[in-house]
Amino acid sequence: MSDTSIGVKSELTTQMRQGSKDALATIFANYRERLRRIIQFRIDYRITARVSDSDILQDTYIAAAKRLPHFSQQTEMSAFLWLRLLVKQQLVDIHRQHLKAEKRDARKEMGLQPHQASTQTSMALAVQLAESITAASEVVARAETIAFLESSLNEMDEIDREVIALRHFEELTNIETACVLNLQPSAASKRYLRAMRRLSQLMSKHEDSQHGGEA
Amino acid sequence: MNPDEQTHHEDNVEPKQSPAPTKADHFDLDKIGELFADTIRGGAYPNIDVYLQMYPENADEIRELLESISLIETFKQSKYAVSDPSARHTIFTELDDYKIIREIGRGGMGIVFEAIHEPLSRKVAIKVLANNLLGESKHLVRFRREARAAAKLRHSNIVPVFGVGTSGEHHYYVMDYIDGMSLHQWLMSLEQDRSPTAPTVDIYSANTFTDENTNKPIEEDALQQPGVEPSTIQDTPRYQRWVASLGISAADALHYAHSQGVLHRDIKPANLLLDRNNTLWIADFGLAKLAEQNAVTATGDIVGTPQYMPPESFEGDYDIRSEVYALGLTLYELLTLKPAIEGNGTADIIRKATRGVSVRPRRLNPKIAEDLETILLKALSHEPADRYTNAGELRDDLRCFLADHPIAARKTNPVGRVIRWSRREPKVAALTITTFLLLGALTGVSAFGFWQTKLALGRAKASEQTSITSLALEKIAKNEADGQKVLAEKNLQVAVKALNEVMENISRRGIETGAEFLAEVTDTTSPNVSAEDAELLNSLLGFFDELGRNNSKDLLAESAIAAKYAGDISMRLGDLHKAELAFNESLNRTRELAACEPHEPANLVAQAAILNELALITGLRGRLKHADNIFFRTKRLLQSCPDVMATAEGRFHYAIANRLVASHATRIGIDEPSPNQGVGRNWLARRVRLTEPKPGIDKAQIALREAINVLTNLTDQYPENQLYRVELARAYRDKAVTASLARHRTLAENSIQRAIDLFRELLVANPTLDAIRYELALTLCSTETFNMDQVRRSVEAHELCQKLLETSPDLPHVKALYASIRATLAERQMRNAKYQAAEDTWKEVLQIYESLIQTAPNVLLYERRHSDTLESLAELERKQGNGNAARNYLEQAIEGLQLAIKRSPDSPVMRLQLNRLIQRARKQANAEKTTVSKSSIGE
Repeated sequence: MSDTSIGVKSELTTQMRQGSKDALATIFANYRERLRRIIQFRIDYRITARVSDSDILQDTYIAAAKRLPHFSQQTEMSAFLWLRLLVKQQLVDIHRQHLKAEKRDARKEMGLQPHQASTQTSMALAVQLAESITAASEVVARAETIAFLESSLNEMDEIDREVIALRHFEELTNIETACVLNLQPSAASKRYLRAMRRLSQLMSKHEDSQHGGEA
Repeated sequence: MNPDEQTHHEDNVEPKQSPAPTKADHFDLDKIGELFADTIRGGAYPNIDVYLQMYPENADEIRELLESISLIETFKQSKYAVSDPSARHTIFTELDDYKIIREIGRGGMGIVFEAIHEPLSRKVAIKVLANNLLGESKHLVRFRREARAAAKLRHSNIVPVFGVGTSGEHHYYVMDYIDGMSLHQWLMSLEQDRSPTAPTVDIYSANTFTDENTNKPIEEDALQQPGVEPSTIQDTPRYQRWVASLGISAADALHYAHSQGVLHRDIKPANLLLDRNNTLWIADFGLAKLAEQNAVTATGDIVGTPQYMPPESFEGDYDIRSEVYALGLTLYELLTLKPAIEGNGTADIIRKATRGVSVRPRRLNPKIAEDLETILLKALSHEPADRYTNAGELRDDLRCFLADHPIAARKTNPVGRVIRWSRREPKVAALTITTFLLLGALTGVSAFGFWQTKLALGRAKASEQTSITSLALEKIAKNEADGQKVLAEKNLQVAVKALNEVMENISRRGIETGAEFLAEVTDTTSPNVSAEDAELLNSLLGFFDELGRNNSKDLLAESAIAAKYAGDISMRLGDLHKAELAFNESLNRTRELAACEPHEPANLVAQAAILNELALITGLRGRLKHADNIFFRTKRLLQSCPDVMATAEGRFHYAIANRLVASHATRIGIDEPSPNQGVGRNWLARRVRLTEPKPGIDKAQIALREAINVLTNLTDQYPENQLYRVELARAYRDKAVTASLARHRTLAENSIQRAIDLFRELLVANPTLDAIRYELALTLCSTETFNMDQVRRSVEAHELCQKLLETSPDLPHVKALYASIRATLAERQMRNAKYQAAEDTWKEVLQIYESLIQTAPNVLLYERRHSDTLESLAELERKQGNGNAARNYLEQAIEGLQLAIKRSPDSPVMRLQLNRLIQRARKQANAEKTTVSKSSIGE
């Protein structure tokens, strides 16, 4: 979705690179929801009570305004990826600040967050999802699928999970992903497709183990 | 699961606004995926087949990828739902003192969360009510009143309600957390597992089905109807009996609630919970009223889920027979696995609900027992007058069914009833259009309202963060003056419940069944409380302290009781200091409570009871004079009002006070020996040499006479009250001890015999009560008798004690009793010059006391007996001429006592004992020196 929009915004991006705060404000407003999604996805659930994602967005904006001169040097980087970088720096700071006591690896904080993958949660999710589904069996099946998905994601190795996270939870394009991972777009694409295949395999493995008896 | 099911949308939903995928020049799987994902993010449900058709040669690859994408994207959307972006992040994590763990579910009235009450680390369930239900303050008042009524319900099948609270704009309802599932969920899971061919798994294991009367698993084979091969589990008699037993529990709980004037108003499978022990719990008492009072006020009693509403409720009639009907509907559904009322859409359901149940259970499942069906039909009669008149009758008939007795429903011409039942026509001709509209509105509003509630809660959370509690309080203060009270009351009830559980734990482990059955004065400090109890208790005590600071009047009664409880437990923990503080606290609150009615006998008696506890503790801490003062306070208090001594309880506590003061007076006589009294006493006063009667003894005798008089009258008047008897027997025992100290042999012998007889009778009446067994054993060896009975009694005490140790090997006071019995034996062995045997026995005794001191370092008595034992061992060695060994033992005793005195510096008795030991050790050293010098001269 973004490749087409980059053209529209490139004018703005140029202005932003020249230090225009108005341009930054417009671009920031445009990417606001995507950035928010990144925060939601990356933030530790224990912190959500203390810091709202709006706060983080605001801090990111302030940081961006302050560091706008830096952006002029990042000629390779799109405005979105630069802002994303700032968001992640904010997140690292906040995690460090709030979870200091637990001495957790800041890198680890940036991984997939555990979302209490209990069947109950999955069931609740499934019920939400399934408003139109009337048969109870379908709700249960749905809950199972979600549980499989959560556990499959958690079982994947770091690299695979990260590429799926970037592409689907952060909703980056392949080109953006390549940029973030410092890879050629074709290599990023290959890695993504491989990760998705593995996910698919893990899913069917879970299903087999669950329903093995019926076969 | 078939992977196709994951993408079920595609089967019936046309892709909307889906940008038609255009075939690229070359096959780029990644691009296809990106396009597909974007389409989903745009809110459409793209059809995978469209993509497949474009690249048939790569169909498998594409399907695999797109299915995964579809799954992830839907998953993500649901996770970070929804339209309001500002609320997406919100995870509701705290509510006043409660930390939210997870959402359990959402239902008719709000969202239910599992939560932890942080100060007490107690798991609770919290229902946050939809805001629209409590829009006006008069509704709020009513809601609180209802919740309070529900909180008063105490029944083993009703989910305990702790209270209500308000946080920001949100009202919540705190109840006990039931680990299990609702019958609704259970039915759903059953539907899931049910297959037409055979039951897949027996998810409800054999012990699921227990006979309500025997509580034993029902043997399936025994109940199996001959020749009937059950195709599914619900066809078995076992299953039906299980359903019947659930019905019994529910009906019993309802009957009880009705007797308390509380109607549930929304009985349905979702409100009946099944915990892991297979116990049924009714949830949400009184909550249904909320919906009624607000959403449909104008039309009256339309409330609840139409599917589970009795016909008359649509006309605004609702009483206990309506709840009988609603329970009948639930049982119907459990037996047939089909809702009794089904329809397409709300209007249809309401129409059917007003007509009542039209399909007999046996038509759906012929294997249902006829009697059970008859019971259901009676409960489900369309006319309330034809139903059971109350839930108790339904329960009794279900019991008859389980016991294979004839049921009451059958007696009334079953044929006629069934015909009448199946032929009847809807009484409610038409539902008013207003009612219907309002009902529809209610359903819609609630669904929306809860979502709103959750979002708003999150928002409130994010913006208020730290100040949420104060904001909440402010808000309540604005709305209602007693806002804070509500909060405090809720917390208090959680705390009291936690306390009750600790007490239950203790009495399950211990032999005492309650504070009343505390053992002999000096032995009450048995810390048979686990470390966890202690920890929980400490947090509770802190909690009560805090509560005490800002309590309003209404809470005084409860907090006074709680403080007394806390004192009792501290005492068992051996922390006498803390116990004293707690009892004082309790006394202050009780007194404050009594301030408005200073002459109300119950208030005075309550104060006297606490004063007695205080006297006991003060005595245990060795401050006998102070204990004496407390006695005079108690006496004055009880005699200040003639009405008090007219009550049995008043006289009872007066007698206890007298008995306590006697035991203290006796100890003043013993523990403060005259300076020329060379040899100390041990715990049975065997070695006491009383040259002249001590004034303390006289006083004790007078007090005991008074106690015995009062208690004798009480036991005559209330022969069924066992506590009075226990107390009387204890008074006789004390009298015997006192008499024996004063050398009134006959009186001592008669009194001890009386005490023994009384305890024997009590034990015969309560053969399982170990507390009485303990008292008897204690009595059997508590005086030195002057005939051959002594040996016989020692043997019996020994046997009783061994029995006690078998059942509760770790109870300190039992161990202590055993040690003292063994010590008696050792003394006899010593007297008979069986030195080797005596030494072995003494060493055994020593070991017991050592372990006791380890587990209960606060109990002075164990320290002193430990030191006594060492002294006896020293004496033994001295008699055998081993001076060195004797001195060794004495030094050990001195060391131990010095340590003990450091821990409890305010015990004059221990100091006396220490001085005596030091003197002895000196004497022993001197004696040795002379021996040594003599022998050296001899050489």
